[in-house]
Amino acid sequence: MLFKMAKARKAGVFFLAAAILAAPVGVAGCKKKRVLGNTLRVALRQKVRTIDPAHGGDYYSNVEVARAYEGLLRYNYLKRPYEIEPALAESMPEISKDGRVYTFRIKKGVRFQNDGCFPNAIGRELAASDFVYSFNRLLDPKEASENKWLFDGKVKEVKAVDAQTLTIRLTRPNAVFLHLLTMPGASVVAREAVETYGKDFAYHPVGTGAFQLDRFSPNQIVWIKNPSFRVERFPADVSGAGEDAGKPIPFAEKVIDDVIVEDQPAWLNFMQGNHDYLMKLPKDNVAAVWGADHKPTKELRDRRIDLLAAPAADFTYVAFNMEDPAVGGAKNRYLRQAMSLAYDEAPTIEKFYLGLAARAEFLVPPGIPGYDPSFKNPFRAYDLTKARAILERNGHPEGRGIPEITYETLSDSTQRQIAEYFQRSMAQLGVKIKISVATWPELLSRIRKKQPQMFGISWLYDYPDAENGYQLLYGRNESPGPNEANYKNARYDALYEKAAPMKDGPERRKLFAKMRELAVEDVPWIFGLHRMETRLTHHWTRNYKIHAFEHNVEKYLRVDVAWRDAEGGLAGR
Amino acid sequence: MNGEEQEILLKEEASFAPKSLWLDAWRRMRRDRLAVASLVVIALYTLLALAAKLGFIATPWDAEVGTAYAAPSLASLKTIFGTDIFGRSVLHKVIHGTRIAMSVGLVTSLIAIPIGVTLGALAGYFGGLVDEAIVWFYTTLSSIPSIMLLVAFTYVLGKGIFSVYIALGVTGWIGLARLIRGEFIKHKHREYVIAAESIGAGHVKRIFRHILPNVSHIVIINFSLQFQTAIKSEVILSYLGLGVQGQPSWGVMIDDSKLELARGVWWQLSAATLAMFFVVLAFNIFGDALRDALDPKLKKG
Amino acid sequence: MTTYLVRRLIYTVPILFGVAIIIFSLFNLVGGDPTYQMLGKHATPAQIAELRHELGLDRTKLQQFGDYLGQMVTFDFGRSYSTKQKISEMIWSGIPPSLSLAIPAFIVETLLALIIAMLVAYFRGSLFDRIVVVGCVMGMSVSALAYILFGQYVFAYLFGFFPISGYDPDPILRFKYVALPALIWVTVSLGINVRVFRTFMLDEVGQDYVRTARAKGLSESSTLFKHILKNAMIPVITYVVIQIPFLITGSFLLESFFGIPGLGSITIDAIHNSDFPVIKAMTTIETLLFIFGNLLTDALYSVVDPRVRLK
Repeated sequence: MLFKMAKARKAGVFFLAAAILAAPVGVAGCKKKRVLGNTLRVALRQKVRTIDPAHGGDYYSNVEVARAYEGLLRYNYLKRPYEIEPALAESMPEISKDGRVYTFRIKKGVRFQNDGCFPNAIGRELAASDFVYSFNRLLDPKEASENKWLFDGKVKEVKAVDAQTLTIRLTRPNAVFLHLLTMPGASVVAREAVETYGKDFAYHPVGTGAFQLDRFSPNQIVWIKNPSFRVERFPADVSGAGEDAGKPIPFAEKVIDDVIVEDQPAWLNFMQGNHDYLMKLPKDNVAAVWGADHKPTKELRDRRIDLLAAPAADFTYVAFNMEDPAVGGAKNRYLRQAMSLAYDEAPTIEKFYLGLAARAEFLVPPGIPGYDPSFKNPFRAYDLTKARAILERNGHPEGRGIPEITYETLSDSTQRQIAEYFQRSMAQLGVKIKISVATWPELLSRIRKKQPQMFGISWLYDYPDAENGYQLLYGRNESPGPNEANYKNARYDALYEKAAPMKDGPERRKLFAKMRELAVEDVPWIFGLHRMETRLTHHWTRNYKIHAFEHNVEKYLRVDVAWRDAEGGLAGR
Repeated sequence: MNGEEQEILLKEEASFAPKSLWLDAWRRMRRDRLAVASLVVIALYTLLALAAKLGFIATPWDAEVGTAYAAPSLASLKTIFGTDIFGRSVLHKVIHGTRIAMSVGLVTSLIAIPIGVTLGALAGYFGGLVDEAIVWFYTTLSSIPSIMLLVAFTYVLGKGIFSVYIALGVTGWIGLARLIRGEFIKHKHREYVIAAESIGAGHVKRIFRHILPNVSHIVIINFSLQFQTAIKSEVILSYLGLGVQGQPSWGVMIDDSKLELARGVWWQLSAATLAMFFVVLAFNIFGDALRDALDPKLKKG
Repeated sequence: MTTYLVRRLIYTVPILFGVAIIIFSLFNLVGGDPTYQMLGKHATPAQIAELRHELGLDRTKLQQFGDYLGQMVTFDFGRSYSTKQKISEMIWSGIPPSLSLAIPAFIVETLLALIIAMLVAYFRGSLFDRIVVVGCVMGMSVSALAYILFGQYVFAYLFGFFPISGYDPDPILRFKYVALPALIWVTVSLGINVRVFRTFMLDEVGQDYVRTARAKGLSESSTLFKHILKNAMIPVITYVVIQIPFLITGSFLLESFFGIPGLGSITIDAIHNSDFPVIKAMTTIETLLFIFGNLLTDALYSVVDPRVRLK
């Protein structure tokens, strides 16, 4: 065959050249405006690890889990501050006087999605015993669940009194227990499905939720509206509910989740109208649509793309390893204080977040009850003179004699640039910083083994209660627990133990304020920023409201299909 | 370019290269204007790298010379390629990137060439069990895809320029060893070697004094190809987040600026890509010219 | 013939063993500890110990090496640390997407390179030859990343000739998604292949039989196509065949930028997540494919050129 080719010689070149040149034209020719119907198209910015409530935990797994599964409780989609409301529970639970026993009534007539694991492939009715099974599954050592912490050490017994009644007995009163029940990890699964699919249950979700899995592939996950979904309605009794108030949800017949890890294709796809909204915008993309004056650019306005922003319930920080001889302990407190004073976070707000962030004074972010806008952290205000004076007073004028400190962070380019900025800031103080980067699993595993000297990281609240922040400095939570700085202060710990089980109120906030004073003085962390969660939405995407704790917003979104088909001509794919 | 292709491009070198060949080759190279131009480009890059290394130019690279993301302007040399996110001069970063790139090329070659020459020479000269063992070793190593080996090495050694040197050096010697081995097998029975043996030259002397000079042109050609492979690999490693840390390498610049493109900042990407393009091009052309010059057989076809 | 192949086959055993030692020591002796990653941000020490046991990480290194040898033979590489999916299933599902990009790209690129190389060999030494060679070298000198960023932005977004990214399970609809990455593939690898093929052809130009043919009075073009091409086909075929196993493993950058769920994107994802079992499995498979490809080439060679068997 190759010899025949040779005889064709020049003709062959021309033919092939023509074919290649013609290919794009041919493809462009086939491109027709395909009517998409009532479909939501979403870009996920990371691969989805699992759709099993017991093994999710990262953002994108939670998103996918919440498409199919539900728990007893959830947050109202529209109300702020965040408010818990019943999901599969008929009403809010009865809580015993001593705060240890929670009694739930389960909604009647809720069915699991139709699936081959049930007799005749028809979803069975949900019962209280399903919660007993699901919660015990998280605690089962064989399951090695990432979400074991939700109940581990907190729940003594889960019992189904009858088909509709569930009691949960706690080991001790817990002020945040209701919050824990809203998390995707606390969703209800069907024993039949877990047993039928075994380890592959991770990709065979069978829940009670609004969407049912149609197709799973590593780069695209397609969901269709669960045909046996009960009647649920868009919130009505809230301001901002709009024209959809009280209408049955979900609105979308189909949700297509495209996994697009690289920034450029994610951005171009959104701008071409192939996705209805875009989350986790890289800073440079935001800069393209968000002017230096903190207003949308003309292009954005012309194309009627909205930029939504709301507090993300998080904070960024640089943690010191308090067990490290060079930076940890009481003897190095002065160094940590000086370093904190020498770090000016203001330019980073502009450079990395385009103004869509605010300085973090402490670990309670805006939007979380107990956030105190009047509090000023004495070591957070940028004061280089004072910082230098502290070092001089302790025998290190201009940072002389302080060993080089290694700062560890993630290997993506934004985190690396933030690290460079930190390095530059510390250079002003004469403190030398070496940057070392790693992938998230590597960094995490180093932190868990108490290996880094210091590291740049952030904490996203699991639920809207300040305790979720304060527990990060609780001595008994040291690595491999969430207290990654390995901060230990007996007085802080005693106060924490007292405050944690209490309900949010003036008394608890007083204790928290005392703890804050201790932690601020010891500087186990250098606080960075409270970030804003941002979304870009096309004008045909309705009802988007950024929610820091609701993962399945698609349930509430409505696409103006006629408008999209008519105007979103670019949407043809 | 992977090792396989390099080797094929080098295969003509299997022919015997007399000593006068060097002079002859130089004369031929001089007539090739493209090759001379490439050599000038390479020399220029080397000079820039040296000057930056010694602190004569572009120092400090991380000083702020203007506002963030200032577009290229002719107002001053520092801003001729614009500035980056911290207002640092992209020109300075490119120059220091040159320093990194040249040092990666040089150090990896300095690691790879001695290993490749020594093992290749030993295998080819002694044959037998030594040969079996060395061939087994490099066949094994070359069976593992080099990019995966690089990834694994950076996990083992930690990240940073040191690991890049080692990883590229330790994986880059195989092609050279294979060629040198082939040459030694041919040469060891040549008359001049046998003559050397008869006047009492030992193994070491025969290997290094007699045979090696006769096959050294292979080393030179390999060096020019190895160099640019190293530069390109550094960029890929940096893209994977496994490359140079805390210093402005071209790979890091390209990785950073692939996002900046979205906000209309094209100068950092262009500057780094062009800087890399010219030196890789120069090494390619120069390597080819060298090969053609040292291989008379290929000339008049 | 058979004895030769059997000998070649036996010779791969020590290579396989060496490969196993290297890969094992890189990944098992020094590779990270996955337990923290698998248990998330609220892990307890007891949980960690339990999981280590379940994963066999508390076994002796020798036992672990034995396990790994077993994996190499059975192709059962366990489960991914990050997704807990069966690695063998991930690989099987990644092969078709990788191939649907790689095969068309490879065929077009090889044929195109061969044609250009023949023309260049025919006009060797002319300006045309010079321009093509310099053009190839220039093409090779641009970073692949630049081709991708530019191609995707200009041809997919600005001009709308192609979809920006995506993949369709339907083999016909899939074509439009792989067209642009395939074109970029061809652009990236054309330069090197033209040069390699040109070298093969010029290699034959200097041979004695060519001189004889010319002396017999054969025209330049019939010398080229009757004699040179025929002989140059042996190294060309060898060179092409040895690349075939690698088509399965796909392309890192193209697959991840164009959303093609092939083995390349699985690998890059594993690198970003430090998913060692997947990286290890991919390394092992690529290595085995390479060894297998070599074996295949040798077999082919010994059919074409019987002298090889005597070596």
